[in-house]
Amino acid sequence: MNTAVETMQREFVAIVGASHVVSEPAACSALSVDGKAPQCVVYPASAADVTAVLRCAAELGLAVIPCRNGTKLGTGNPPRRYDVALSLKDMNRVWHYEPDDLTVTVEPGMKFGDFQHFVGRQGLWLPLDPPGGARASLGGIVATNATGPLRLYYGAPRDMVLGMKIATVEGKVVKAGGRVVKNVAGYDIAKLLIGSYGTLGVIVETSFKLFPLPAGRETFVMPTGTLSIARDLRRRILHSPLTPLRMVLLNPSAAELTLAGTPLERPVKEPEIWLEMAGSPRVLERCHGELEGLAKAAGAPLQRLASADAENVWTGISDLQSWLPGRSPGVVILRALLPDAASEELLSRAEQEAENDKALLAGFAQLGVGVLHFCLLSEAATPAVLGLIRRLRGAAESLGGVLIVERCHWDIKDRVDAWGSPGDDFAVMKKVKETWDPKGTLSPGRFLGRA
Amino acid sequence: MKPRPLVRELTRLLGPDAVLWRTEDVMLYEYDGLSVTAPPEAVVLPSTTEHVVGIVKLAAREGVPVVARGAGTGLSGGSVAMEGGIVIGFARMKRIIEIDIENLRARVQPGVVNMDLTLAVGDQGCYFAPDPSSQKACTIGGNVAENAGGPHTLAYGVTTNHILGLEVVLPDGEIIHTGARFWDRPGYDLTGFVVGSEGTLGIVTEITARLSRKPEAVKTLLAIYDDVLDAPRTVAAITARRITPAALEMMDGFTLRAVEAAFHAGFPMDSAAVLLIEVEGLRETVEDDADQIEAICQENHAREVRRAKSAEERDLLWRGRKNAFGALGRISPNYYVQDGVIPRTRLPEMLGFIGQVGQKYQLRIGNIFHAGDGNLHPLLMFDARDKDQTVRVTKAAGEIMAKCVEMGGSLTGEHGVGIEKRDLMPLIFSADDLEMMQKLKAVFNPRGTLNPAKLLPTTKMCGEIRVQISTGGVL
Amino acid sequence: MAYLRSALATQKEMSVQSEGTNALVSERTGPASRSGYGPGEAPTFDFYSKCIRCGLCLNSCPTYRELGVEMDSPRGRIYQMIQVERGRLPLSESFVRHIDLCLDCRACETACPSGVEYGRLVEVARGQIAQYYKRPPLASLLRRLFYEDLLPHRRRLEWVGRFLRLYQRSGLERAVLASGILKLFPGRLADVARLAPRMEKPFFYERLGTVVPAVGPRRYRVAFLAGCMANLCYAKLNEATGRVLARNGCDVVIPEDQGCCGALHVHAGMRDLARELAKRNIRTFLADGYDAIISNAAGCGSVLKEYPLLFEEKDHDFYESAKAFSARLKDVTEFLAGIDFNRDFAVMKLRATYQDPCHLGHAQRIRSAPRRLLAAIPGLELVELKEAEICCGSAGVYNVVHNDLAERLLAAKMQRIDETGADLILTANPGCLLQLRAGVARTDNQRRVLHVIELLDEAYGAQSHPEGIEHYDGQKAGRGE
Repeated sequence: MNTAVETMQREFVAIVGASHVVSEPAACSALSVDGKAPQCVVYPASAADVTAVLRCAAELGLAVIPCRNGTKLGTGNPPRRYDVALSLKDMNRVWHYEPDDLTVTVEPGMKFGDFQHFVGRQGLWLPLDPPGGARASLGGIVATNATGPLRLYYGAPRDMVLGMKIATVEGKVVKAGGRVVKNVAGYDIAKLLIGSYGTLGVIVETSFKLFPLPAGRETFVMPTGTLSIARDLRRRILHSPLTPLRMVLLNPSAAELTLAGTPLERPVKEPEIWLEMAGSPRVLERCHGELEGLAKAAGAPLQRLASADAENVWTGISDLQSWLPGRSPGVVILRALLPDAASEELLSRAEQEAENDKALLAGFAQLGVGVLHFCLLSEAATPAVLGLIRRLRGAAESLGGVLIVERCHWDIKDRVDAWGSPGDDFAVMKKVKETWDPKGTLSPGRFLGRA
Repeated sequence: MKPRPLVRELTRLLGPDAVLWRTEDVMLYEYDGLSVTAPPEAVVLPSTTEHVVGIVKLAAREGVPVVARGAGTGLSGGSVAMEGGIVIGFARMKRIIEIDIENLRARVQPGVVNMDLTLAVGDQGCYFAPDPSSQKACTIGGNVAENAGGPHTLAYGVTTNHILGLEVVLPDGEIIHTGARFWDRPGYDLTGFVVGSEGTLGIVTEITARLSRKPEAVKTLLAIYDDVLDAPRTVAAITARRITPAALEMMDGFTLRAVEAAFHAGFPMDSAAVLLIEVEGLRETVEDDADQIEAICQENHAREVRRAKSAEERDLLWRGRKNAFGALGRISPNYYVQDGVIPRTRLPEMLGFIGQVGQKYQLRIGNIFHAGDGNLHPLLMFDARDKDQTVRVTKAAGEIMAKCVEMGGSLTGEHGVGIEKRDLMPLIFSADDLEMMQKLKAVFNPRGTLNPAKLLPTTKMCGEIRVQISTGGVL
Repeated sequence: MAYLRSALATQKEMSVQSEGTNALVSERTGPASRSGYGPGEAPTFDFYSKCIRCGLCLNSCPTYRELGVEMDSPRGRIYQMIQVERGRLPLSESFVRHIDLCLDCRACETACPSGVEYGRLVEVARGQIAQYYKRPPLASLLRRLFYEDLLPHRRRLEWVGRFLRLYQRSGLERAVLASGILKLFPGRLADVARLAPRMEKPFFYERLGTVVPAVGPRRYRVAFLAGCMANLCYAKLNEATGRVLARNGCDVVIPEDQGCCGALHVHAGMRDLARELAKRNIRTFLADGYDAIISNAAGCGSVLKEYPLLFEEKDHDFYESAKAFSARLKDVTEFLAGIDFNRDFAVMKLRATYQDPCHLGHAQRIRSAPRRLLAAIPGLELVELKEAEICCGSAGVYNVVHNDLAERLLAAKMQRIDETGADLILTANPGCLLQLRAGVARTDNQRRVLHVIELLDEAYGAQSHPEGIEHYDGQKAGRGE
């Protein structure tokens, strides 16, 4: 072990104690990012710990990546440097919980599953279905503004965060927003942190607005024959008085893949729309009737499922990143964002591109939201994959959107920017980054424009 | 009177019709909805983004402040040129550039009046969700600057939840495009940061807004109480029962008598408080919710719960609510309106406290709350010609504000900080917090020429709170 | 609370306290100068202090919508009135220009949550201008000729009417307009000339002093105020009004000694003359105990209803009579909708839209009455007009004096009307009829523009009037009883 590493460890031990600094190779490689493992993992126990660690790391010129379970570490460009993994595992306290005010203030290390269970006892939830699912941490969800199909009805973390405290590399704790549901005092700094992927500061506390759990939920499935029927159905449903909680369009490979291993496993030959409705039995009955009418008009049959039966399908759809690599190790996961109306068009073009390459593509479109996931399942040589990614990005951009590479082998990442090219506001973003993190301590090279 | 060289250059850029500089003209731009006044040296009325770029560049060269102004309906002084300079009025940039119903988007210029967008998309079953009481006059640019709210933001969120992207002119004349025409573009959420920045970060010249679909059914309930505290108790109970109405508004007896006298909306003159509750959605959902809410109101001793029987009745109730400030303006020469926020569970306690403060300082206080989200608008009545009353109002306002902070609340829920609450910011933010805000402001506005003297305290607070009292435009 | 420091500073002091205050602010903090108003009626604290400067009026104001400047907004105009009183703004060209440019449509009163009586403020301010501001000689001359030497005088109006009728019917008008000769004149004479109303035959003056008897049993005895110029160019509308009222069981008395109501004078600030005209009408119409005094012109009606305002300060002796008069004054649509009106209408298969006259909708707050009447006509499809509450640009003589702006408002109005796809345009005020007809003429369209009463008259079947009103030679009013 060289002296620099020793110095670093000594400093961190002085801050958080020896039991909270780990440098065993197994622990480090578990949190490796794009082939790079950190020198050590630090487990702060408080906001004060985090600020001290960050200031120390900045002084020593180290690079820090904040994390918890690492469910989203795969997203982003490869880090330029990576010395310390700052694991917020031990910061999982609830500071303030007022169920009758529907507000809660928690530390970032709390796991999403535990949190939902905790507030669920009072009939509340944070209506998100992010990648990483129950294993994701609240801090990670906020830092990546992680959403799934539920974004359609409920919005994103961006819309649920009331305020937060952020540890800066200067060693300060900065407060943004507050704990009340409506607040316009001062700049909305929290917005900058939400979706910043740990590049500006470390969120050490977040206040959320909570929502009542719906009375009941049911899932409806509609095989649509063709994508143009799917488009027609989407329009009819979104223009109807119905307000689905979530609605996705799966191409046959996506549907078959997601259903595999569940009690609902079956061969799938046509695109399917899955949607979830909520409300009292009376409301659900009405929804069923309306959907039946819409499906009939489009010539599609309608299947009705209790949401309990469909829950693992929904989890599968929103948390591809967790199970798909297990089944298809070389999988490349892409996320396209675009104006919603072009969803089917992009899916169709993507299928065409994949077919040209004889590649297998599973496509998941979150309807009404404008998010599509493409999973390239076949093992192919890097240049072929690269070519396909670039063509899919081209397709997304030509439809007014962007394409993010969420997961792929790191040798591909070196040759394609995970985020795509930045816009004319990038100069301002760079200055924002410099303001928070002048020395490039936090996740250097990982974000937009490899900043 | 001869125009200064800067004015001559502005005139060359925009035409004589779009530049005001005579004392008798700029005098009309020294105020907004708050009553702190300061006239600009010139007012320009651009028609295009290019105009704005030209104006901003000239101002930068001369080191002159630039202040953006929509309709001047703001209640925190956001559009008043505290340090003079140029006011950019957006009254002539009011084009709806594009309406895209399938994607639920609209691109608009900042001068488009909030209600005009809703009217423009109404035939297609859509509307723009933020609905501040001034929505018939206020502009979307102003809504963006102040992150405006309104009664229906309880269920649908404030302005920031409905803005996808912005075109922003920075003080050096550079144009940037933040966000996109879809959600969650990679990169920092500059859109979210600029919304609510009160014109201190850049001049917004185009807005991509999200449209919402009109619900199938709406029911409006009016719950009437004999004990004023039962109303906030009902609000707390509704929230605790996990029902989120689209709107949940409270007016106390004093206010609703003024409203009723002015608008004859059907509010009971003899009650102590009313709740105006609206539920929206599918017919069945609305019926279920309305029944449950009615039951909760009864449990909390509502004397009567009425349901609006027609769209006209509903409109009348809302007209009364949205014009309530003005109705109180009829019975008092001046009033001071506050905008504090507290946790909803503390509403009964707060209402009691406000009553005590009123008694202590011998003031009439009308209470209009966006009760559903704990946003309070106590209106303190006074006559600015009476110095003693004015002193008492100042003290009472300070005590109410301090109580909001003590309860873990905020200084402002929707009106903005502006000049009014600028110096109160240290009550809820530490020096470190404010320093970070200052540094981030400098990223966009390094020389501080955009809307100077707003939002951030100019000096460290030396143990004093100065509440800025609006004097209603006369004194 | 020790840390609370009172900031009762008036905002003047406040501005000074804030850093970097510019020179213009401190200039304002000097000793307040004397009021810029002369003696007499002037905007006063009690009325303008209701304005809380919330700005809710802005988007309802046609001039603000078109020009986009605060000086031409209701809030801005009130602010200017206040600044004149405070001596910060002189009663001179700039103030006069912006106050003149106001349409006095009073849409801002509808929008105002604080109950500011804007019309009253602007009319009083115009009174100050009329008294104390010296207009250019030509403008003064024209104003005097029109308001003083023409409108109040029946005989002169008749002569002018006959002359115009000849000019219009002889084909001379067409020749003049076609020749383009008017373009040689300064200003917008060429445009304004197209607005000239058609002189009708016979003039309604012939009806003054007569009674139209009720059809069927008499239920009411009402008096009809025929107006001034309406006698020349809205004679047919007046006839129709008489018939419709008669169809509703009214004896319609048209008193002889009536005249111009003075509305245009009030709007122009010529309050003394308006008072004289008001007195004549008050005396005449209060001489008998009518169930109602009816006007079919919204612009006249609103001023008639506000006669008491003219006598608050001056000639206070007349105040009570004015109140009694205005209490009985009803717009014809208001009167009809308020009684159990005769619904014996023929089927009218038409798609129509209705433009609220500002002085009906805003000044008199009458919006549902005309709609209720129209809804009773079988077959009539009434399409609501977007922005029906915005002025069409007529506004008394506004379309002549401020033709440019009036044209812009009319263009916007016609666009909205086109959107409705209506083939019949309805309104309830002669001035609006004139303006909207000009708008329709411009688009070369065949759409008709009618007063609501004219449509009712058609729906009742004018030809079948049992008395054959066209040939009816009436009894002398007030003597037949």
